[in-house]
Amino acid sequence: MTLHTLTLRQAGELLTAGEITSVELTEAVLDRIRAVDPTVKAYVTVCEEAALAEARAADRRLQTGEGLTPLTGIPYGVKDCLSTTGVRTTCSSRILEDYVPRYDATVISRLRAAGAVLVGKQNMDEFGMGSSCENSAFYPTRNPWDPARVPGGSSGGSAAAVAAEMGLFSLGEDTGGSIRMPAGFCGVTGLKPTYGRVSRYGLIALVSSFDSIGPMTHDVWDTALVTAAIAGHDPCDSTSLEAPVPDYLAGMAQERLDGVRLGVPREYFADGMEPGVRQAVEAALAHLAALGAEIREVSLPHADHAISIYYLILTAEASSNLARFDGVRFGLSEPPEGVDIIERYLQTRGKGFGAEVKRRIMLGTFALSAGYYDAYYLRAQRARTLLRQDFERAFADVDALIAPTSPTTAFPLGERIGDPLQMYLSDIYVVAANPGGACSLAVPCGYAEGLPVGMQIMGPALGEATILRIGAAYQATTDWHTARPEQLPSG
Amino acid sequence: MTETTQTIDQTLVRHMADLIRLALTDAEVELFTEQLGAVVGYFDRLAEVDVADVPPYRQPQMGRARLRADEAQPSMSREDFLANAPQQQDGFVRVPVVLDVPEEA
Repeated sequence: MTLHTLTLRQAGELLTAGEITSVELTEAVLDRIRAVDPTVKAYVTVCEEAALAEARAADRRLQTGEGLTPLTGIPYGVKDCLSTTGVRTTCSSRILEDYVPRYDATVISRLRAAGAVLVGKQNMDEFGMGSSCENSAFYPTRNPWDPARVPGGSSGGSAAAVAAEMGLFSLGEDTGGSIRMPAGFCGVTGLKPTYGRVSRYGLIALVSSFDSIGPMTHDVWDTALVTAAIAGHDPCDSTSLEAPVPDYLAGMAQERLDGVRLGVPREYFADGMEPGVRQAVEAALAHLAALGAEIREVSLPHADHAISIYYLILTAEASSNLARFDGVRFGLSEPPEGVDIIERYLQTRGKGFGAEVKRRIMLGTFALSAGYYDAYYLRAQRARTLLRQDFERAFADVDALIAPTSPTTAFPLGERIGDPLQMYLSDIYVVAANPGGACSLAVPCGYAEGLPVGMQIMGPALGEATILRIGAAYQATTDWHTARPEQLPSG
Repeated sequence: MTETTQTIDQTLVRHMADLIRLALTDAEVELFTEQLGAVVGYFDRLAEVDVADVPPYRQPQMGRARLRADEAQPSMSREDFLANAPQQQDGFVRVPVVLDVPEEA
């Protein structure tokens, strides 16, 4: 049996039935990483010994049958912006290359308590700034469907790891599409939960008012299982929501969507979408209608401005968040001796940050500085109010919105890296959910010239149960999500 | 709407880099001036949106202070806090001289 190919749910059933052990499963995943990660480069750090120790502990738990959860014994990886005790956490940046946290992010503590097995930390665009994983300071991650193409970003390593079967699930982080866009490019399922649904404690912040941690998996069932394990209030994050976590698995077996109202934002389907993407998403809409859903056209009048709203707020908050990297308390320190503190700051940050980080923190400083604040940052925050109102109006009429995850399929490495504005425009369909206050599920909905096409199912705040149910009905009656890339060289 | 006609020049890029304590090479200044100019030119389209009577968005969670009870709880050890400090001395983080900074021109 090729254990690394299992879904989380399948593996969980075999583990609880005693047909496989967590050590066998974890070794299969580690073998798979050794075989294909030299090509894919999804991982920054693999913690083999610690993973096997956690797997042995999970096996003891499985033998006694006490305190079992659906995640007990399941090997997984996480985006390298989530703090892990004793395992370096780099944000794929030179400035944190040797940083080893002394505490766990709350999501990591919860997965440890559930008995899941952490196999490693996944590559990303530096500090989450990018849409292709090419902005990693270490190396770009490759798309498992075609290693000449990008996996998307910024959670590119997390998406590629699931697609290439190097972990049964990943945790990604989505500030403006960073889970959904790479999920679409790599043909996996991913959820950006409502802001505040999942604790951000221990997440190295990009944009404190947008950042959302969520699962990336082979299917919606697995996404629901992981979301249930990580969601809920955390006293360590004052922005985490106190609303009770509903039973995400209830209603997941429903294959019909009678009475469900789905909105299609007309602005997203106006132009700019590749024909193969349009065909796949329109076919998915027809399928959802055949399941009984009512499809309506809706309008998000400020959608055209979402990129500007998002990037202005992002760069402003990021410039402030990244001020903490000063070469004094942790991280890179250049030069080590013989300079005053200003020179230490200048050189540490000049050497430690990559080009995209430098561009964005300068943009944010520009947007916040005297003379430009009103025209840029404040205007973006006012327009954000309008964008939220667009979503509120739409969700008054429909239960969920349907959109592609990206206007194109995965593009070739190098194609957009020299043109930051073109790279930002890759995010055109995913950015609005974060400033707009929505949650959003990405699912594979077809292929164009052999490359995956992703579809978003967006819901209102705390609408996770609804969009998971819609996604589950879609996947129960389609098989796009079961396809796996086959051409990976291994050696 | 003259406030949105601002273009990014090298002087402004150097000024921003100085504000955020970022050493840039001349080549970076040249490249970033061009790239940031294109991005800000795109952002300028936001001037088309009528925001005259629209309040800026505020995160509901951000405005609410939620304080926990004032009870002592375990925290990280000094050793753990210092573990990532590039330079330490006598159980403290050692920092470069801050009070003897030469005056800037």
